[in-house]
Amino acid sequence: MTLPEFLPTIGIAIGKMLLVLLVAPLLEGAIRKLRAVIQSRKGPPIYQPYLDLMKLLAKEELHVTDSPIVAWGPPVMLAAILVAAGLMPIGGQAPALTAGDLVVFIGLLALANLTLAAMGFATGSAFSSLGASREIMAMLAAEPVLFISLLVLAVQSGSMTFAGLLAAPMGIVTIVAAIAYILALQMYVAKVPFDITEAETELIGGPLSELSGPKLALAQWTIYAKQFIYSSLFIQLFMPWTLSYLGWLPFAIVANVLLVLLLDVLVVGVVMSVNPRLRLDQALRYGMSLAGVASVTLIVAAVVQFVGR
Amino acid sequence: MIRDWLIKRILPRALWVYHVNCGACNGCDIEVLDTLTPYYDAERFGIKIVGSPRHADAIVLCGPMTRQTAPAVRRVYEAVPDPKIVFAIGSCAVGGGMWHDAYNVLGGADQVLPVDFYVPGCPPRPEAILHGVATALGLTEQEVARVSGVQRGNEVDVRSLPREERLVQEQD
Ligand code: SF4
Repeated sequence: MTLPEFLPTIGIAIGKMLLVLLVAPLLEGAIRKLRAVIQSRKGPPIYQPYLDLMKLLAKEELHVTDSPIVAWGPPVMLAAILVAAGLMPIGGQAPALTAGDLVVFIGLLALANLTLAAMGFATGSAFSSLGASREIMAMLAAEPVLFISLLVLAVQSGSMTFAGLLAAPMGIVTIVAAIAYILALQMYVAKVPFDITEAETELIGGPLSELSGPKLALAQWTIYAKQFIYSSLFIQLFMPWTLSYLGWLPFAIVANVLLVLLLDVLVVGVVMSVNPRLRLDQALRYGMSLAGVASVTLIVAAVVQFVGR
Repeated sequence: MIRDWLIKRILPRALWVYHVNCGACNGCDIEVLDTLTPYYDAERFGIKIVGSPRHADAIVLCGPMTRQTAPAVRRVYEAVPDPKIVFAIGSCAVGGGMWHDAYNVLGGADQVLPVDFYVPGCPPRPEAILHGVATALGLTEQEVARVSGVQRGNEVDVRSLPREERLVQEQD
C-alpha cells in the first residue's frame, strides 16, 4: 500500500483511540450511578469520572522513586491500551490494517497489566508490591479464559484476524465460549468480587497506591479504557446480530457504544453492587474452572472442525 | 492558567479525602464515616474517601494531636500532592478539646499542620461535617455567631455572669 491509501486506515485507527478515551470514563460513571440507585441514594453525576480525571491531571505529581519504570509506566500502559483500541473492531467492522491479529491484541492488553504490576514492584511500598503480586495472580486466572474463548472463534473460522473472528459461524461451541467470556468479564475488568488487586479498603489501591496526580490519572484512564475494550469485544464477537442489521457504520458504532453501556451497567454494575470481594484463591479457582470449561469447548470445536473437513 | 482553572473549577466537585485519626476516641471517626452512608451520601458532591494520601486532595483530622502521632501526621501531610485542604473535625482537633491539658497532648491539629477549616462538636454531627466541607468547597455560606468570652466595649467576662445572663450575652 502506498502512503495516501494508508492514511484513511490510520485515521480510522486514531478515531477509534479517541472514541475509547472519551467514552470509557462514562461507563465508570454509569456504574457508580447504578450503585447509588441500588443503595437508594442520589450518587455522583454520571460525568463524575471525567471530573476526577481532569482534577488528577491538574494536581501535583509527587516523586516517590527514581525508578524509570514508575516514571514511564503510566504512559506505556495507556499507549498499549490505545494501540489495542486501534486494532480492535468497532461497530462489527474489522480494521483494514492487517498488522495486528488476536495474539498481538491479547499481548497488548497483557502488556498494560504487566506494566501496572511492574510499577507496583518498583515503588517498593508494601501495599504496592502486594497489589502487584496479586495483579499477576489475577492475570493467571483471567487471561486463559479470555484467550481460550476467543480461540474457539478462531477455530470456528480458521483465522486469527479480527475479520475472520467476526465472520465465524455461530454454533453451540460459540455459545459456550460466550458464556465463559461473560462469566469472566468481571475478572477482566477487575470489578468488585474480583477487585483483589486494588482492594481499596485493604490494599489502599494496590499498585496504584503510590501514584499521584497525572500518573494516577493515566493509570485510571487505562483501566477504564480496558473495561470498554473487553465489553465491546463481547458485543461484537459473540452478539454480532445486534449490530449487523445496521447497514451504515456510524449507526453501528453508536449502537455498539450504547450496548457496551447497557452490558456494563446491567452485568458489571449489578454484580459489583450486590457482592463482597472474594479471596484470591477463590478467584483463582473460579477462573480456572471457567478456563477448564472453555478448554473443553475449544477441543470439541477443533475436533468438529477436523472431522468436518 | 488551564491548570489553575481546573483546580479552581473541578477540584471542588471531585474532592478525594484521606481520613486521619490523630488520637481521637473514635467518636469523630464514626461520624466522618457516617457522612458516606446512603442517608447522608457525601458521594453526590463527588467526595470520595481514598486509602492512600497520595490520591487525596484533603485531609480530615480527628482527635487531639498527641506527641506520638504528630510526626506521622506531618508525614501524611507531606505525602498529599498540592493543592491540599486540611479539615479539623471535632472539638479535639479544633483545640485539644477535653484533653487540651493532658500530658501527652500537644493541642489541636493546628499545632502541627496549617488547618484550613474547623468543624467543632464532640463529635460533630454528620450534617455539621458535610456543612463544613460544603463551606470549604464554596457550596454554602459560613454560619457562625462570633461570640467571644470577653464582650467588646463593656469588657464583661461572660464566664463570671449567672447562667441566664450569659445566654443573653452570647446571643448578640
Ligand atoms: S471531639 Fe469528642 S468525639 Fe471527637 S475525638 Fe474528641 S472526644 Fe472523641
